[in-house]
Amino acid sequence: MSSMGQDLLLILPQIIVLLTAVAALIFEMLRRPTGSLMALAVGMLAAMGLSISRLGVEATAFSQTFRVDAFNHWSVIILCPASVLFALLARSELKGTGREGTVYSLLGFATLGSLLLAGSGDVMFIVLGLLMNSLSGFALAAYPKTDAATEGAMKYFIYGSVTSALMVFGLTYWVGTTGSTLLSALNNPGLQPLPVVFGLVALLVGIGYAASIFPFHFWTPDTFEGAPVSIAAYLSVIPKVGAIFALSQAMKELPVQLVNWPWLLAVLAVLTMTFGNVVALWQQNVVRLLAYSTIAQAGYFLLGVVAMQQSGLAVHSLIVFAVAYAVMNTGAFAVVLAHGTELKNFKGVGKQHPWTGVAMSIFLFSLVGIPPLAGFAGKFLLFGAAIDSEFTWLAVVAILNSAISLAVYLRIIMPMYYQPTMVISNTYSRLVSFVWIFCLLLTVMVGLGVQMFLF
Amino acid sequence: MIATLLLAPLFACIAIYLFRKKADIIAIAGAFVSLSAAILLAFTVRQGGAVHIAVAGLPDMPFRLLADNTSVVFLVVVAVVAFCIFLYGQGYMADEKGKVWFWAGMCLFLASMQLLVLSGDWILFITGWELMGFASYLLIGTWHWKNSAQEGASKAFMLTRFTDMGLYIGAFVIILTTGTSQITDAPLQDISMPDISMLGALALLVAVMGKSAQVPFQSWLSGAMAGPTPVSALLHSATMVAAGAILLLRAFPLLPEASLLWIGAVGGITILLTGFTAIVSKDVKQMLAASTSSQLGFMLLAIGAGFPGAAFAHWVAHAFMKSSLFLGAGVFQHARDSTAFDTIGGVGKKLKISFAAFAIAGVALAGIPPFIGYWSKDGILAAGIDATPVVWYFPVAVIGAFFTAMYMGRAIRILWKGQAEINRIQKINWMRTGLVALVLVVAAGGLFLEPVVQFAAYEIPQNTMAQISGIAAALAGLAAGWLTNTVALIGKPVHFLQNNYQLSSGYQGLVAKPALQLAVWCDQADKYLHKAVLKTGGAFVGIAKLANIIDLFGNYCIGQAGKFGLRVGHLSRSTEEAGTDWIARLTSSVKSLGTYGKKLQTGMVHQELVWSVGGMVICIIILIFSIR
Repeated sequence: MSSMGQDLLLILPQIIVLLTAVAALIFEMLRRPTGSLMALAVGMLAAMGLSISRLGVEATAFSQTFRVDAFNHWSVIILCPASVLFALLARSELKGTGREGTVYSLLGFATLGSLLLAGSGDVMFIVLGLLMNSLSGFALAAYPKTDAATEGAMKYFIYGSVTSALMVFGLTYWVGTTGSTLLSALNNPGLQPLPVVFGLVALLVGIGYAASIFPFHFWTPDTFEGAPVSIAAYLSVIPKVGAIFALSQAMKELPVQLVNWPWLLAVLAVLTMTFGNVVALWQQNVVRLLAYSTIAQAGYFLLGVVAMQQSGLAVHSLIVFAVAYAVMNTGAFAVVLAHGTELKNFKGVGKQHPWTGVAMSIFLFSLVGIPPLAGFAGKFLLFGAAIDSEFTWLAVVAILNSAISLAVYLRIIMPMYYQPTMVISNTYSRLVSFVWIFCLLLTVMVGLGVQMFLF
Repeated sequence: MIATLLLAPLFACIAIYLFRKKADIIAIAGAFVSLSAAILLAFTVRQGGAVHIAVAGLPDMPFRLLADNTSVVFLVVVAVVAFCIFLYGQGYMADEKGKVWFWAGMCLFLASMQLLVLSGDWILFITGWELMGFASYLLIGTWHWKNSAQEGASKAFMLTRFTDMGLYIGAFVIILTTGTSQITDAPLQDISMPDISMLGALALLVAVMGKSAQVPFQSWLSGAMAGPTPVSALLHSATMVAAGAILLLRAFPLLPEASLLWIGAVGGITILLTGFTAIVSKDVKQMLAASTSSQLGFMLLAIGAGFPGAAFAHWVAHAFMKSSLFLGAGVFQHARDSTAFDTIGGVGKKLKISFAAFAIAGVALAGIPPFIGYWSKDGILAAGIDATPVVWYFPVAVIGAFFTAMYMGRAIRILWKGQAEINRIQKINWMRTGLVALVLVVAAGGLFLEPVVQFAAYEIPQNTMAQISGIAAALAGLAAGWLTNTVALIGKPVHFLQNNYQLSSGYQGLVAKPALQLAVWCDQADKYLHKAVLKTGGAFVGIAKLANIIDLFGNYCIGQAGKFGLRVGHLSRSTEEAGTDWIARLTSSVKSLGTYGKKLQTGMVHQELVWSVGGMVICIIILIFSIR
């Protein structure tokens, strides 16, 4: 087989996702939104199945510009089913409106962007992935056409344009100093440090925007609050996982002797977690609270990236935490979609709807990192990776932060059980129930059987 | 069998939560199944040796369950105490609200404690530890419509969660040092294991101090008294606080020599301080809470002296004594609807059986032979004498024993003297059954304590001088307590003591305040920035600059026009009374336009982009300095 054919075969999961998104768009043109949804579900699950069967394959495609490695496989396995869950949540919110199919198709394209990010071996893929991700994101955030949604989307857009421009500008320094767009070209301790610094910080700006890392996170709360809950859930998972994986791909290469990047990332991690947790203490709106919590979780992700070169645990920990984060966060947003976005909507939920009450508590405790749930497994490995690479102080700060985060999440759990019922009755779609039950099972199972999720 | 032991209470918990009926019966059945499984397991282990089970877990660190001689003793003690408390709880909760909550929580609590005891690796140990913390949070909050219960629950949970940090760090250090997550199953023989670093040992000590309510983290125990009395009984005897001691016993072979001094010091300080709190407290439950800290201090002291066997024996004895005391206190509480000493004075004459049980357990705790407490306290005193490098362990232990006897003597006197009218108590027989069963163990257990400890592969140190001084201290203490005829002491220092040294309660000062302060600070910084940036305008940001200036200018115009219109409106309204309808309408429409424009603008993208760009510049500076 020709090398081109081989390359195409290697990126088959990504091609399937692209075709899926296109198919969803075609169904939308035929005004068959249900068809769009079916196409999305079938295509995404097919891509996931293909990637599962390929776990362990290590290769590069298109002269090293695209990496087929653990990050790539797992990004497909995590994000493709997640995008189907978001589509189901979105359907419960906009069934019957004119824009249903468009949303599914945009979800497909956005996921593709994240997959490209996760497998990027070349700065061009990072730029491309980030743009695909955010362009779809702007449209998704704006689709309800309310003031709040427009404002949030506008903010997301302005933020995205500025940071992407800065990133592209700074990355030219990398290309200029290495003479190549490949990330692996950075693995050369003889490079000029100053241009490398500019390129690195620019990359951090772009990635930091997508992953909501302090101080590039400011769009997050407003956009989440304005956007529909299903889209907020999407924004909290898909761009973040893609961006963090892309950052890891770059940091795998950058020599520590040249620029002391682990230290900078450690500082950013501390600031991100602390800021997210502390500000979340003040929020009255559950979506805003969860938005700040996703910022804090981005800080935990950075622990794995910090350990990228020194610890063998780093890749495992990032992947396990990404799985855990995707399921528990999606689940929490699904319950919010079912019960309302204000803290007062949660009063007495634990008594009226015992199952959703338990589910929400489990998602939140998993976000805190209480064993034996999925979040614990991920965080445990992340802390281990940080200690392993001699960043014990960072692990200590992270553990302290998880103690603070307990107070944040208790703010939702307390009214669920400790306050008299306020809700009269609310009905929500079966799809939402399906999503949270699915996430609940995974949150518990991932925590208990982490070993089976590794390779 | 292990599975039955763990799953029976867990399923009971789920069943109670789902059915919401017959909660007490399901719970007692679950506890009974768990108890029978524990006893069967103990016989299996005795005949066939330790049982290992490994299941999937983290990479290279499978979850291990381990039932060896030590852990089956823990298991049986926990199961027996829990079962008696469950029987008692059936009577206690008969007329109380919140039954479903209570029983579901108790079952979860039991299951997680058994998991902790059975865990054969550190990760499962953390799991059990955390689950128990969560269950205790639920249980203390059983009467969640009361403010004190909510506060106590949150305080206990946050504080223990905070100190759990130490357990996480300690577990990492252990795993990195020994290369395995397995808990060593032969405590005293395996000397070849490398010691963990001082940092790891101290981290573990912090976790123990939090869970076992040692100074300065003792204040959550007083708050936890807001829960129902069976909960306190369970929390304070064989579970929760006792988990801290289990942690130290499990980690003992790994601890470096130098850390033992720290452990002993923490134990010693706690014995004295909380013992004193117990002497002056005004409430029987508060007294018992302070006494728990103090007794756990004895265990730490014994471990610090290098005699885990003495700590183990005291752990077993304390589980039975403290649960009986709490159950007795619960009866008095029902009789008088209060636990304060000045209201329950004299109830002992009406409730003879309960009083006798309370008194036996109290005398046992004071350390009078032949009750179980004598044998274990004797071991700790002997450990204090034999601790070669440290001279002050023994005096501290003797003073502690004196304090213990003194507060028990005082409590017994208060309960006996005086006259009191009592309420009729429903279902008192259930309560008595549980209480009497436990007291029988307290009374007769002294004979079995030594064989049990030896079965668990530990030994109790013995010393004649310790025996004599122990009995002397106990008798002197009881006499002193009986003579101290003060229900309520007065004065500021006493108040400070009664509140369990609130000033020094570590958590408030160490975590809660700084965290809140930081939050306030962030909030203020944010507000300040809003103002500052609004004033300087969008002048910084290159790309968003133009759009922002136009936007800001437009907003400014709208705002000004709005204000102007408002002023016109006011003016016209005040000068001419009539004919200004159109101006008012115009004013209001402009005003709403202004707020609309402002609303679109409050995104403050320019402001936040300044932050981001500033952050970027700082990142560049940091990195330039780090270039080597």
